Amino acid sequence: MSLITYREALSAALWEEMERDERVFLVGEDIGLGGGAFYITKGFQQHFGRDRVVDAPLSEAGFTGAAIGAALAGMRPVVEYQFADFVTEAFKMIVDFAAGNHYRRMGPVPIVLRLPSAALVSGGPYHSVNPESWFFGTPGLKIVAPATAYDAKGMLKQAIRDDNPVIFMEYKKFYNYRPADLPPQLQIDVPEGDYTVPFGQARTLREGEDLTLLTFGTSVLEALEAAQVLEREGVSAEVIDLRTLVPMDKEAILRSVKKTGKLLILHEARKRGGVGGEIAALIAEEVFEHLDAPIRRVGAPDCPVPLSPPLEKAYLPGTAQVVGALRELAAF
Amino acid sequence: MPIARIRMPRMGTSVHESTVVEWKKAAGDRVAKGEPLLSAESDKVEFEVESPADGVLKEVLVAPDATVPVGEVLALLETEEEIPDAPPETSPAPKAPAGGAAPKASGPPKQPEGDWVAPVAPLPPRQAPAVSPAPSRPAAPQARQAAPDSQGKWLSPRVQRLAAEHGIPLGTILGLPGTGAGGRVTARDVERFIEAGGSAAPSVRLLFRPLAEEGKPRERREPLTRLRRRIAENLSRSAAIPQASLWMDVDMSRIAAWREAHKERFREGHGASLSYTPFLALAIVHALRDPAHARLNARFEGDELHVARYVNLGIAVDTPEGLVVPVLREIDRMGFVDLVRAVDGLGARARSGGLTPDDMGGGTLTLTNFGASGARGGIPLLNPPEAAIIGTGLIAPRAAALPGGGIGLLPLMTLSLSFDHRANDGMAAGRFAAAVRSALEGMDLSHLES
Repeated sequence: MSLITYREALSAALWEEMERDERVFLVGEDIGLGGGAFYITKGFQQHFGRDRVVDAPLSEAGFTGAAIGAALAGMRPVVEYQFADFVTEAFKMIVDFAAGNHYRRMGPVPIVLRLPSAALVSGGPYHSVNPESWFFGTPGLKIVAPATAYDAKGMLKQAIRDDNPVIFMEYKKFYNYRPADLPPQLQIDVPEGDYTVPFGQARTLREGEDLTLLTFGTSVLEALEAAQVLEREGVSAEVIDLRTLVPMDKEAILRSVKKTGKLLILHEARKRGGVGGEIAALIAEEVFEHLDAPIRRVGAPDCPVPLSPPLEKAYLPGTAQVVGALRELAAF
Repeated sequence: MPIARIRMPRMGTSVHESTVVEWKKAAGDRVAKGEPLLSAESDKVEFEVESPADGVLKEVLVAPDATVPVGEVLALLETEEEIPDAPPETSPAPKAPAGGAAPKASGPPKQPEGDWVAPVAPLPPRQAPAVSPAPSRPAAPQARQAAPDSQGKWLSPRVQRLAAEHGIPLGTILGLPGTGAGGRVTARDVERFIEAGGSAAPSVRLLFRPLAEEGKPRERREPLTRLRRRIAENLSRSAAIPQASLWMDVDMSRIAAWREAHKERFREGHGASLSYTPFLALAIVHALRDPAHARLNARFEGDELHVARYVNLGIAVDTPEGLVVPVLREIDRMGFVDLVRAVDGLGARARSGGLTPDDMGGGTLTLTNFGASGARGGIPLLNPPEAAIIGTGLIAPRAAALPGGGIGLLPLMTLSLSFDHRANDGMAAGRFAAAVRSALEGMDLSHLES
């Protein structure tokens, strides 16, 4: 057991899975000699060789298609995109051939698509996307969003072993966090050996009575900060990290809303068309009679992610905004 | 299309000018007959100017905050029907040439024009802001939009489910003290009610957070409204008066019992609610019939005291805009029912913004009620140039020495009197207050009309 970084957790998962299963191979841009845009696979090629750590040409559609073909032939490819934004090049491959194939051909496509997601610092409109809503409505894809090093390792292993295509959103923002700098709820020991994190299980980061704050991805940071502010004000907020978007832990969500009667859904992605809308609809459909206040959502506004640092700061849902929404909800 | 001129109406005989407060409509807006076009205020009252007909507001000629003479054209309204030429209530000698007398020198077919002095509507209480949808902002707080606005008479699905589960009638739920937005009864309130075994213990929920909302200014500047400015000036004048106060407790048992027994009948028979004010008025008039107390019903002007042998009773009324003191005139000539009706009507007019200049000014003595707020009593401030003011506190059961010995509960009222010490000395003022008290305690109620 040890506290390691999110980046180290991802590397460990890949390394261990490649050692464990020779069908597992990696493909992506500059992942070999360069170790990838974020050095997740640094040293991998030297150890596993060029056949299992494949430097692909600059064509996301091409190498995604090749990986899908390999998966259909029985391999377990892990595809790295330098930034989640670039996945649009491979859209048809993913939604038609990875997601759709199982339904047509009666065969699974065990492929993992690693998407370094969300804003870092001033990444601008081409390096900051939260891609989940592009895929959320496509049947056949699993979508996961690990927010801790523990989840990063366990869920990546789970994704590799899963027979379905998995959209694996990993968060650049978390790569460099030293465990000690994170809120205690996110400082989870990462076992050195093998373990997996099953999909479809949300994690309650903090218990609360007065309202439910549902979130995932980078927004867990703002959620925990905001909950702490509210606690000082006498309001007890339950913070839930969804961890997996597909399949979603409906039970956990409904249980919490039934307890508190008030729900705020928070995500870094834009509010319009975001996953939050789907969750809000679910709550309204299934537990309407438990609601004591209108469901609130906090997400980014309707514009591309700005490049300018002050504008980016204004764009991203910040703690102050979450606090404001929670206060209104608490006072409702 | 005929064009009607909307003019500044005359609000009472002594008013020569008024100020535009706010336009409710903008040029180009379609308006319906009777819809308020603008709000305005004179020295004495606030009022609204209504549209005389269906039409389109063509042009707004006078900006907010501008003070214009009575009769000034405020706006042009394009109407379907022609508005009859009503002579404007302008000043006796109009200096402008009479409109429409001489045909205009230039221009194609002249549009018929009608002068219109709009009817005036009482200004509704300002709790509900004028309906002017604010431009939608991206992060509009939904909770606030959906927040109940009718004194919390909105029950959330959760509250209704809780009520159904525990078999609590919704009427009981609606009666609970709500801690939510706008007094809404929250699910927590209901849960506390259930936990407390079905008793509605008042619950005050403390919050530990800054008063200022996130992103909102920590201070704001509020320019004084005309009314507040008038109040400020008047009270500054009052503060310059050497005034003193005294107070005494009044046993209100008999009046309280009589009022309780008769107030239903008053509502049914006379359409008026029977407050304590008419009884106070009666007691004051009674006390003032004694010439020894006449100098308390007076105005201190210059180096003269104007002692009135009539009673114009000013009544302080709390309105959403602020304190106003309309005056009931010559109450010494009134019968009881007339007095009750006059008090009731005056209060209603004051609260609905329907006071006219004729309701204002000329008081000889003022009555103010601290009790409505729950206060046991207070020290009133003189309403200059009047020489005295009477304040009354909450009428509530209090432990008191009973006449036959022992202690019992009596509905007591603390009556206070402030007086201009230049006009009267303390003993004279005290004797007057005692006379009012005696009249209240000993009033023969048997021959009051009801």
